[in-house]
Amino acid sequence: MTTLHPRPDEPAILQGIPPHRDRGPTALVRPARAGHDHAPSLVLLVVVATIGILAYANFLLNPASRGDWLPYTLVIVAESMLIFQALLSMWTILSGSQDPRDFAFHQARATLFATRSNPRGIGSPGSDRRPLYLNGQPTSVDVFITTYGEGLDVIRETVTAALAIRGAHLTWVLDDGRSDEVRDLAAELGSRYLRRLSSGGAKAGNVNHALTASTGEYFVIFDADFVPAPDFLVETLPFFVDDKVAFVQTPQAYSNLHNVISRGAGYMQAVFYRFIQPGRNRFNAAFCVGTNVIFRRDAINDVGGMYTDSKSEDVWTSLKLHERGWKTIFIPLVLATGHAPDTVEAYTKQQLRWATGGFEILLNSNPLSPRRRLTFDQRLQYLVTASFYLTGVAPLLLLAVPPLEIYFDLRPMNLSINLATWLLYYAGFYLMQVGLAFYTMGSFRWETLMLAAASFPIYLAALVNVVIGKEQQWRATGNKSQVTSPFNFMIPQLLVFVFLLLTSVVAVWRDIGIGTATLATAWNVTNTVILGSFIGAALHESRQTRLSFAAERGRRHPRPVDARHSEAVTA
Amino acid sequence: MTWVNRLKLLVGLVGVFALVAVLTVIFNQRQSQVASASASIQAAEYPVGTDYGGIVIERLVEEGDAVSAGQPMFTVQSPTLQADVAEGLVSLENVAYSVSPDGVLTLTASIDGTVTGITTERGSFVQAGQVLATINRGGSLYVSAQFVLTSTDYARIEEGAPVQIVLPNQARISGNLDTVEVTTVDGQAETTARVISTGLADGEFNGLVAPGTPVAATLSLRDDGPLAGVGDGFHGFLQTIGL
Repeated sequence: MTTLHPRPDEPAILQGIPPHRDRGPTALVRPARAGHDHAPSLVLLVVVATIGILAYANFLLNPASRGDWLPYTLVIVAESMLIFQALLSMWTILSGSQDPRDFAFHQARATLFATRSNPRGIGSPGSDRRPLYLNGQPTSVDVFITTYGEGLDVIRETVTAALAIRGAHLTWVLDDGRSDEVRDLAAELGSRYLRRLSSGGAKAGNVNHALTASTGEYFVIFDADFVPAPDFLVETLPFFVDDKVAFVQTPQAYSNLHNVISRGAGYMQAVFYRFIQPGRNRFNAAFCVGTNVIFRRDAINDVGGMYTDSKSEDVWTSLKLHERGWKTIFIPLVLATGHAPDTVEAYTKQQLRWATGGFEILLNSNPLSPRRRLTFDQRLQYLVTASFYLTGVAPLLLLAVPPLEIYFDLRPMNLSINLATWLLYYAGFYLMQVGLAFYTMGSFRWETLMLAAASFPIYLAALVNVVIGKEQQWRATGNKSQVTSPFNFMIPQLLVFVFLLLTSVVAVWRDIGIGTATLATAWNVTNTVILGSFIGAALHESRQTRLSFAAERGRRHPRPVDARHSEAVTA
Repeated sequence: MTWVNRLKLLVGLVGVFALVAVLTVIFNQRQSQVASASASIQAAEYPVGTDYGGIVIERLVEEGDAVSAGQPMFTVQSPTLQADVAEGLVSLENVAYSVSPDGVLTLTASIDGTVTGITTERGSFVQAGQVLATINRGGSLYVSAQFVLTSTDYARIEEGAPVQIVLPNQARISGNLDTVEVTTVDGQAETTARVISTGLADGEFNGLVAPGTPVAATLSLRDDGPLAGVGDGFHGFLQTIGL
């Protein structure tokens, strides 16, 4: 089983990683393996879950169980997307049993600090800024920290940690927020500061601009809120001993899993970083996620810089690199910790950006098209990536099924199918997935399920935007003089919730009239509760924001967390 | 929230409430209606038979011909009849047939209608009591519809209840419940209803209104629900505006 391997003295959890301490220079310890053979029970579980999926698919597609065409079509379309993704992701998980670290890596890592006078590269206290050697040649590394209006405390923490990364490197603050305070902060901490005149190309443009000013052979990108570990370069740079490696990506881990939204969002990604991305190494289709990543400058030059025509520059740049035959590596080792989106607004924007990127690839650059120069494995993985967010739209279709039965007596399944049969097949799919999550992650978080069910308006908006070629415009945020309500970003969810609530009332009234409880009512009430808990989380957030805003106004000294809150929100 | 978003939310909420209201009325409407399991157009049938065995010497009508009362349909040469006439046992004129002295029986239509089900041809022998053809009485078309109802719903059937008849070409005719027969199978009331309508004129709708045509019938039950008034009001409104 692949896990996120911690350094020996840190707990092995994605969530709640303690702040990285500078443990002082030590001899380079041998890293934990990034992948090894899966535990036999995981393989068994995956196989059983696969059988469950196939049985469920067989049950759904069996003509004898077909009900009225409208709800049946909705169910089939939604479940097909879910089943496709589930099958392929389990395949990817099983593929992730190989450690990307080979002999050359270990050799390079052992001699990273080696010089003629110190051939074994043994460190001594205070030697953290020693030059780095790769293949016996000195290398140069730039560390870029992209900022765009983040709070000063957040930037300070990141820059401080970036400066403290072991090995000689230059740290640059790339400020698209054009803040003089950030400039002063960079000067105070001793990092370089770069500000550009335009803001074209967003983050990718920012990085491209920095590449014209810097000269390092390799460059690292951190978002302003991702605090790197001191060993970042030690763990990633040795991979570049292979000339074909374009970038090494490390996971995004989060330290702020303090509420429903951040836990749901963080956990969703934990599965991705722990199981999916390592599996993609085998397909040579691990893609960049925009932060906590180290690039080879030559590779980026080869594809003409970071891709600037999309808000999802990270996936697109990866795609271009793969097309040019570059190799990419993901290691499931947490080397930087950041902030998960913890407000509805931040979550909505993040998911919208990611989903837009996925749909852009699906609709504008179909990975199956022969014009793409990708291997078959890469095509498959990019297809999975590109279509992943379609599963986000699926809940909308499934939410519509119980109301169809309640109002119109249209049933997705044949009346002759009894509850037990249905339950058996249904459990074969969904319970096995939950079981798999439980086994692999050690827990199952209802927040993830809730967020996944409540996010369909975001993915639908992304899909529509991509289809009609519209750029999503948000009202300007970052206005700290106003409190924003999360409800600005969840009007569709509110309306659907009200609809489901009223439908539940009608359903209960109907059941009382008929004299029996129906499955449709049970489902509809469940869906209402799930959406309701999302609304509840938003209400809680709204109250918290108001409180902290009031406190802030009183003190005029925003605490870091409050600053993030009030900046991420608007009346 | 911003005022624009508040307004959006408000408009959206009004929309959702309206949607649920319409859906609920539809749902309630459906609750007070029941669709037929099977229904077809039927007609009152008048068989044309002979009291004397003999040879059919003339067939004067074709299948589907419209006939009026008294119109000759068949002539039958019957030796038995000839003998009976000779002995003065039968009168020469009758509502269903006329008899000539030489023993030729002329079968006539007893009512106005349409000829169906001719069972015999010129030259064939017919037995006494045999039916030679059937006349569907003109203007007697009705719909026979089977409904499977729960006992509660059966109790909600009212005399003269409105029934919507949908022809195979989706044309709609409204009718009313005439009589009901019921048998109970597995606790379900299998109801056979006879529906009459002034719209069921023979040969209408390009010949679709004819005996045997399959139709769909929707029977309105007495609405006992709390939304009965609302539903009726809504229905009335739709009718007023011409939908």
